[in-house]
Amino acid sequence: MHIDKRSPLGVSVSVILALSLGQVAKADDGFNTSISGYGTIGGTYTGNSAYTYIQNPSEFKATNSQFDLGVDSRIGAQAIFTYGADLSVIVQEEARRRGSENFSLGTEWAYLQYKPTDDLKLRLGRVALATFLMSDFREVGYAQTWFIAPNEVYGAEPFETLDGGQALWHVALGPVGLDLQGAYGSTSQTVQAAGVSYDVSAKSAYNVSAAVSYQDFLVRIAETLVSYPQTLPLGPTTIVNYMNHDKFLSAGFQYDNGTAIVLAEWAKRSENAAPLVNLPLSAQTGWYVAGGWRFGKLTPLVSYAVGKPSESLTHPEVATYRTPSISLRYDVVTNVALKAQLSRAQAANSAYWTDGNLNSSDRVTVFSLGADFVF
Amino acid sequence: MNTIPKITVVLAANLMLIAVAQADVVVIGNLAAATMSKDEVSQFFLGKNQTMKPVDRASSDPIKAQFYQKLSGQDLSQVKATWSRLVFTGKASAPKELPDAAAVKKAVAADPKAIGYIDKSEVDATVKVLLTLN
Repeated sequence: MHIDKRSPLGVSVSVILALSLGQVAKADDGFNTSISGYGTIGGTYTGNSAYTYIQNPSEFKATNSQFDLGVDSRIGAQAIFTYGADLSVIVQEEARRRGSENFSLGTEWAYLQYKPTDDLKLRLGRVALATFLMSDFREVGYAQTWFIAPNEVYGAEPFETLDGGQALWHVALGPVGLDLQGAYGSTSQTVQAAGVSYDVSAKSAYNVSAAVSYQDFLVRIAETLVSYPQTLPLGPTTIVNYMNHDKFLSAGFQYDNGTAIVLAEWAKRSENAAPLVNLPLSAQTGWYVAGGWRFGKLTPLVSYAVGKPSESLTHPEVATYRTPSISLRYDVVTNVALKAQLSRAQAANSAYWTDGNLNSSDRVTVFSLGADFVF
Repeated sequence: MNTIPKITVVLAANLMLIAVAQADVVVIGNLAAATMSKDEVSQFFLGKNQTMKPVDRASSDPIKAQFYQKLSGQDLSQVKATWSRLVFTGKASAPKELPDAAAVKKAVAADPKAIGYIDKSEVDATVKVLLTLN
């Protein structure tokens, strides 16, 4: 949604600040409004100008050896309108880079929620597509230890939201918490391939997940399936139309005792084969492990990510890419964290570059610096 | 008149500061509420269990940092990050922040599901101590 193409940043910030200035309004008839927000001011550059860096398929404008604030910076505001104890409407608007435009305003969440019991939430509207462990809050940098989640996993899913229905069931059994979540609806995304952008619209998509938490441990498994009509030009006169079933399986682990942090996640993307060529459009496996330690306000975190594209139309190569990263979080005040991150990605790893170099064995440094905040 | 040595005054002030720093924080609930373990209280104040309604204090109030440190070993930035995950995914609403112990006692006395925390010295007959953190 673009309100003013001449100054998207100004308009977006104005809208979000206007929402935020209200902070909290209350009424005696059971109707309450609360406003909160989050944001990131930061950027990324690469150590080699030949490689232009992207984080995910929804961003077309890449960054190279010049520090680019657009790739990471974003600001979001959330309004919660509650009526009584059971009914609420939640809207979350966010300005960030979408396509090739910086600070483009879009709706991340917008739904009506009904709570028949303390444990059950039923939602109707737009929700985040919770493909991975942190997909729900992927935009809220302050809620994460690192500055950027590993592209090998988090950059793989092109779809970000789902328009439809969602049910969340939470049960606390003493120290054990169980969270079951399911969503069904439609989704769409504008993606870019070979310099051409096109809209992908899926009328059928679902996401189911189960998470178990015990004291400082959390384990989550999820399955996401997005089905959309795909047109493939295989030659000057040959065009194949078929239904692409784009599936993600993921398993995530988290341990956080307040001092030590361990994160690990595995995700596998699979699609049905396209007719005639008998190959899927995309297929890959990605995983990472990360470990950090809080020294007061300082939290260093080391991570190691692996991406393995399987043979597909978008990845003719079968390879294994490995990316070590280190990040540092410094909690300046209660709601602001400064962060720096350095990754050494392989030049051939397309999870990081608009145009990777399959013939190169080089490693390229990706350096990011910024501040995450909530208000 | 002024016969108290300066060193005594300084020592007394320091002792008072230590006393404040080590003061017991108590978790309070409605008179009808049952006592709770530290793990249970932690679950309510960190959003893992939403069957009770925690009421919080302002971040500028020193008792807030003391409470979360004693309860979970976490500083306020960690607590804020935890709640950010819940708030911006619609999974929970952050606890309401009340200005002082009197407001917490009033909220807890009026709602059987509400729990809060105050300094032990501020407990009165309108509320029940569910847990002492020392």
